[in-house]
Amino acid sequence: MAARYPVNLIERNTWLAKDILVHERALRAYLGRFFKNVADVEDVLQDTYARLLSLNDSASTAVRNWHAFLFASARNVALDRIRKARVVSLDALAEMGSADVLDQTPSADETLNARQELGLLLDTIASLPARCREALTLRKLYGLSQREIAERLAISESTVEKHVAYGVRLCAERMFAKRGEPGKSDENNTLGRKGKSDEQ
Amino acid sequence: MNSKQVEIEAAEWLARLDRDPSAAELTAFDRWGATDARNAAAYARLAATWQALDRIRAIRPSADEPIDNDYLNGSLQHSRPEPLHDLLPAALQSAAADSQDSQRRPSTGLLRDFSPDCLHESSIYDSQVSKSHWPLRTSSLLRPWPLTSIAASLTIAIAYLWGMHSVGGPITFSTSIGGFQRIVLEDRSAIELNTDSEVRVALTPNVRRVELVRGEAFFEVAHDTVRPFIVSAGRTAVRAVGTKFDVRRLGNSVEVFVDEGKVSVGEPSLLESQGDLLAISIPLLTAGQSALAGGGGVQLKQIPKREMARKLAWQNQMLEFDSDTLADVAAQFNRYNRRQLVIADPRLATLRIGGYFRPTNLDAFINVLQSDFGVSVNPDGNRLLLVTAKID
Repeated sequence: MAARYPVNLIERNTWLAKDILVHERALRAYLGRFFKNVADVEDVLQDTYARLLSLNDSASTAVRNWHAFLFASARNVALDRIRKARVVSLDALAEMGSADVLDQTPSADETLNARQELGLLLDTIASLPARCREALTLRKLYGLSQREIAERLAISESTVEKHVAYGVRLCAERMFAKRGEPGKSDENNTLGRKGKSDEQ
Repeated sequence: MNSKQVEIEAAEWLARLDRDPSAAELTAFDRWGATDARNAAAYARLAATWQALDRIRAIRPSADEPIDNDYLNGSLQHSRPEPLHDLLPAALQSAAADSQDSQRRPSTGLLRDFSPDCLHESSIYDSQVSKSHWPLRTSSLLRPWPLTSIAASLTIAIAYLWGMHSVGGPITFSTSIGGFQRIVLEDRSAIELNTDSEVRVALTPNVRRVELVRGEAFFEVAHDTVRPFIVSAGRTAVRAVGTKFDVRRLGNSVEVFVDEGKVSVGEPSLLESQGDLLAISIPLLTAGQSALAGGGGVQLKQIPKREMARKLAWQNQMLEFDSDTLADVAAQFNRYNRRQLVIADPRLATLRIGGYFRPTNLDAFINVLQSDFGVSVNPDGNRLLLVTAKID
């Protein structure tokens, strides 16, 4: 497990994908126990990542176990949010305060070997809507530029750009997030997560 | 602004910067990132996703083959090395099944392949066989084989050695650098040859003899107690009755590892002898063990399952690494290519590399070295000199 904190941007992205984002599904499930509203879970995740990325060097090199650190950070962000706001019941607060976050050890599902990782990437690309998939395949598998893709598919460059923007979000969702409905606003989504405890 | 909107903006920035951003756009991007730590976080998450997608280049056999429409049509998983249902976490599988039920997502190969009794490798295999002119007695012995448009373009010969013992002399099979060959013998044993390898096969009524002249080969030995299967490699031999094992020549020594069953390892003359002598005097290797023979001794070692799978990834014409040093990884690639990776900067030798690569697609690996590991590659004739990249 690579626990070294990255120095440059490319290394940081690799570290983020391999040591942090692979736990996103489990982290969402964990947070889903305390927030009914998916948008709240999204907010907590974003705040958690923001905290992780703004750590200074000395703090980050002291971290031995990023998985545990990630869950602990998320819990702190969540507790802040719960204390400030109105979204959760007191029961949830009590439960969250007492739950031992270090029990959330990574499951076999989360740690992929290189072969599984490649399989997941291929599946993700294959599962995209047709045009989006074509654009991302040409970009990532064949290394064509957005302009070359536009020429080849006879569409405008701004359309290719839109495919890339939409595609990368779907890929992030399918690779790392719990599967939700793409494109649908979570604003009014009050999908209760408690009823889905079988996912844990 | 809620997190969804932040993510949408981050994706728009990523797509814009993926083109040729102007100086003004870059300034605006910096400003956007500095406005709110969540902007920067959402962007970093998508950038990490975007960068990870570069790894799919590993499935291309080489960097210069034309664009394959099958890929664009979403048939990427045909190049997959393993059955899909082994690859994905169970939770993801059920999620895919859910979306299939409700017809909310576009139906793709992904969903098709989740059918529980998925046999798509076998059907691909069958179609390959029907193209072959070689008679096949049975396919039950053959593992499902992920033959694909890529694999089909590699050398995969299914040879049938009719009545070889009556013909007499041994038959030679070989592969060139980067090559791969599967041979099915008359007794239904199978041999897979890795890159730059050669075997001589002689089946007689009393013994099945294979000489590994050079390189590496994997043996799936059909069970036959009266005709032992003996593989010799220089001054080392391996004797089996019915099992699966790999033999590789490394300079003056020989490495053997056992995937299934048991084999004996020792000097050829000893192993040729019959009787109970074998049981007491010769090291017996069982599944999950390896032996390194040479210099007059045999060293036994236990190999973890994961490592065994990595060592055998070549059977899918792939190389798998997990925290291996660049020195080891380069040595592996050099077995498969005429262009040789040379570590010109000693600091790089201990760099740890993980990943899944097609060994003949050296360019894909070079790309990863350059983009993920801060290595610069300088061509020099047939040599590729690896040095530390200057950090900008």
